[in-house]
Amino acid sequence: MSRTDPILELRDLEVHFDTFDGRARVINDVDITVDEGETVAIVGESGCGKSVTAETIMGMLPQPPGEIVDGELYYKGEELLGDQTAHERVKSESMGMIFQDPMTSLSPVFTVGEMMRDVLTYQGKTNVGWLEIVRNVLGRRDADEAEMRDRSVELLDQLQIPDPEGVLDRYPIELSGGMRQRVLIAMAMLGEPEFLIADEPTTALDVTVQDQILDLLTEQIERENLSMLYITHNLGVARRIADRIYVMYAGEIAEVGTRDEILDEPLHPYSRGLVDSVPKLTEFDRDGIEGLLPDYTDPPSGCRFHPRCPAAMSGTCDVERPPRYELSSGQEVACHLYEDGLSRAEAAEIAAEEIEFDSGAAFEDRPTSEPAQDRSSVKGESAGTTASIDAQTPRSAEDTDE
Amino acid sequence: MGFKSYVIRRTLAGIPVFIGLSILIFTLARVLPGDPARLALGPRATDEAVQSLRDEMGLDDPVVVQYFDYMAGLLQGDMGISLITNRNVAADLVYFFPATFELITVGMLIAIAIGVPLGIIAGRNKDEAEDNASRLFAFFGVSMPAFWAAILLQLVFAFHLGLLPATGRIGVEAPPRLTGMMLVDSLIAMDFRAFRSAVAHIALPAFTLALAPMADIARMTRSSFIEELNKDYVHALHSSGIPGKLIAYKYVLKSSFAATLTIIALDYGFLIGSAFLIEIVFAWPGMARYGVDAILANDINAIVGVTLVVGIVFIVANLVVDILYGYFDPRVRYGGDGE
Repeated sequence: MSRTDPILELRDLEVHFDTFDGRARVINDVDITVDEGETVAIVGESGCGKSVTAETIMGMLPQPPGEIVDGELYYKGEELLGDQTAHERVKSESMGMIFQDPMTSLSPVFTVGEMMRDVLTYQGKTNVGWLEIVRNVLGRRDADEAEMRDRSVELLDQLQIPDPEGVLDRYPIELSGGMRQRVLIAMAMLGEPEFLIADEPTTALDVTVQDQILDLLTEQIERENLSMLYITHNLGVARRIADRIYVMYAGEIAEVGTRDEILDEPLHPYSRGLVDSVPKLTEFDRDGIEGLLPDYTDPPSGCRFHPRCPAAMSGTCDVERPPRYELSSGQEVACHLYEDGLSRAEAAEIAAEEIEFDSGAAFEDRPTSEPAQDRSSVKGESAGTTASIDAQTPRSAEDTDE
Repeated sequence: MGFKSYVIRRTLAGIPVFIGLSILIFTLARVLPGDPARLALGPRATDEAVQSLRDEMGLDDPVVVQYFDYMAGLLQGDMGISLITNRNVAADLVYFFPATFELITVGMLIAIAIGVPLGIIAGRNKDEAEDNASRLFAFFGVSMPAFWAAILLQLVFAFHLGLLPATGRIGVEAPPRLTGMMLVDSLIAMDFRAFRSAVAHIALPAFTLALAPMADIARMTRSSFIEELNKDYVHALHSSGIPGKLIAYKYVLKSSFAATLTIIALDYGFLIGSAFLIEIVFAWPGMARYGVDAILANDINAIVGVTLVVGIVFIVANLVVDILYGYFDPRVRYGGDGE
C-alpha cells in the first residue's frame, strides 16, 4: 500500500476528564493518521471516545473538565496541541467540521445568509476588534456583499438546495432537517478547508435523507479533493464512505485497516462483535456483544476489552495491554491473539478458530459451532450492513444468497 | 407572517388584558370597607349631605352600572373627581405621573446599562474573579432594602461629599411644563442649566431604584449567556471560522437576550411599587404621595386611577417586551397561529 504524506497525524493522545466520580481516563494512547485525499472512518459504539478525539483535533475540547494529558497532533508537519495560537490559525484556515445534529447546530436567531456572510467575512481571522463587532451587529454591509452572496448561492446550489437565493433569507426553523444539514455542510465548505471532520452527520436524519446527504458529501470531497475524518457508529455508512477504518473501543484503537479488511474479515474480537451485531434484513437473528463499556474512572487492567471478550486468555489479556501488531498487509490489530508479520490468511484462521460469540439473540436457530461456517456468516452479515441502507442493490442480495 | 402583523396581533391582545384589569381594579375599589362619601365630608356632615354625595357619585347604583359609567367617562378623559383634591383624577394623574414615569424609566435604563454588561462579563468569565464580584454585587443589590440604600446614598453623596442634591427635582427655575418630565422639558426649552440640575437631582433616586433590577438583570443575563454559550451552534459557528468574540457578542447575546427581556418587563412594573417608597425618601413629587393619601382617605376615584396607571405601565412594558421578543427571536414570530 503506497502512502502519500499524512495531512493529519495524531500520536499517543491521552485525554482525561475530571468527573464527580473521579478522574475518567477516557482516551488512552490513540494514534490516527489521515493521508492527503483520504477518507478515514472512526467506528465504535456510543461513548467510546470518538467525539472526544474529534474535539481534540478541532481544539474544541472543553477544558476543564477535559485535559489533554499527553499526545501530539501534527497538521502537515506542524505540531498543534502545544501551541494554541497555531491550532486556532490552522483550524480557522484549513479545517472544517460538520456536526451531528442539524437541528441545534445553526443559530436560531439569524438567517442562513447572515451566518454564511460572517463565515466568509471572518475566515482565517482569529480575533476581531470591538469596533468591528459593533459595525457587524449594526448590520453594516461591505462592498463585496454581492460576491459573498453569489458564493453562498453557488455552494447551496451544489448541495442541491432548491431556491438557494430564498434559503439565504430564511431562518433555520423554516428549513427541514435534511436542508439544515446541507446548510451545515455548505458552511463547513465555505472556508475552503483541506481537512474535514464529520461527526456522525447523518445520525439525526431519516434513512432516505441520510443517503442523499452522503452522496452530496462524497461529491464535495471528490470535487475539492478533501481529506476527511468521518466519525460514525453506522458500519453501513463507513462502508460507503471510508478508505480506511479505525475501530475504537473504550478510548483505545482496537484495529486499523482498509475498509474491506475491517468490514469483511475483522480480526479484533471487538470489531468482529461489532460487525456481527449489525441487524440484517435477511435473517431474523442478531449476534451482539454482551456487557457494556467499562467505567472510565476505573478501566479494566490489561486489554480494556477483556471483560467482554469471548477469546480472553486469563493471565495475559487481563494483565498486559496488547500492543498494535502489524500484519504483513499493513492491517494493525491490538489483540494478544496475533503477532507482528502474520499474513492475512494466517490471521483470519486464528480469528475464526478463537473468536466465537455466544448469541445475544433470543431467536437463534443457526448452528454456530463450526468455525468455517462462522466465517462465511461474517461475510454475509457485512453484506447485510449495506443492505440496511441500500437494501435494493442486487449485490447485497447475491451476497446473502451464497 | 411578517414582523408587522406580529406587532399588530400583540398590540390587540393587550386590549382584553386592559379590560379585565379595569374590571378587577374597579370592583376591588368598590368592596373596600368604609363609606367614601362619609370620609370625604367628615364626621359632622349630615346624613342628607352624605346621601346626596352618594347619589352624585352613583355609589348606590349596581356595580355593573357604575363600571360602565366609569368606562364611558374614561374614554372621554374623565376619571371622576378626587375627594381630596376636588379635581378630576385624570388631571391629577397628568400632573403627578410624569415625574414618577421619568424616575422609573431613568432607573430602568441605569439598571440595563449596568446590569447587562455585568452579566455578560460574569458569563464569559464563569467562576472566575469577575463572576464572583458580580455575584457579590448582585447579592447586595437584591438584599439591601431600597429605603436603606437611599439613606446611605444620601448620606454619602449629598451630606458628606456634597456632590448631589438629596431631595427635589430641580434646583433652578423649572423649564416650561410640556411633558412633565424635567429632563425632556429642559431639553425642549434648550435650557441646559436646568437640564444639568435635573440630572443631578434624578441621579440618586434613580440609581437607588435601579439597584434591585440591576442585580436581577445581571444574574439573568449571566445564566442565559452561559446556557447559550454551551449550545451546539456556538461550536459549529466557531468551527466554521467565525471568531469567538463575534459569536459571543452577536449570536449568543441575541439568543440569550429573551430571558433578560422577561425580567426587564417584570421589574419595570415592580419599579412603580418601589418608587412609592423612594419618592418619599427623596421628596420626589410623583404619584407616591398622591396614591398613599388616596388610599388613606378611601378616595376611590383616585385609588382606581392610580392603580389603573400602574396596571397600564405593566401592560405596556410587557407589550413592548413581547414585540422585542419577536424582533430578537424569529421562532416567537412564527409561533402561535403562524404555522
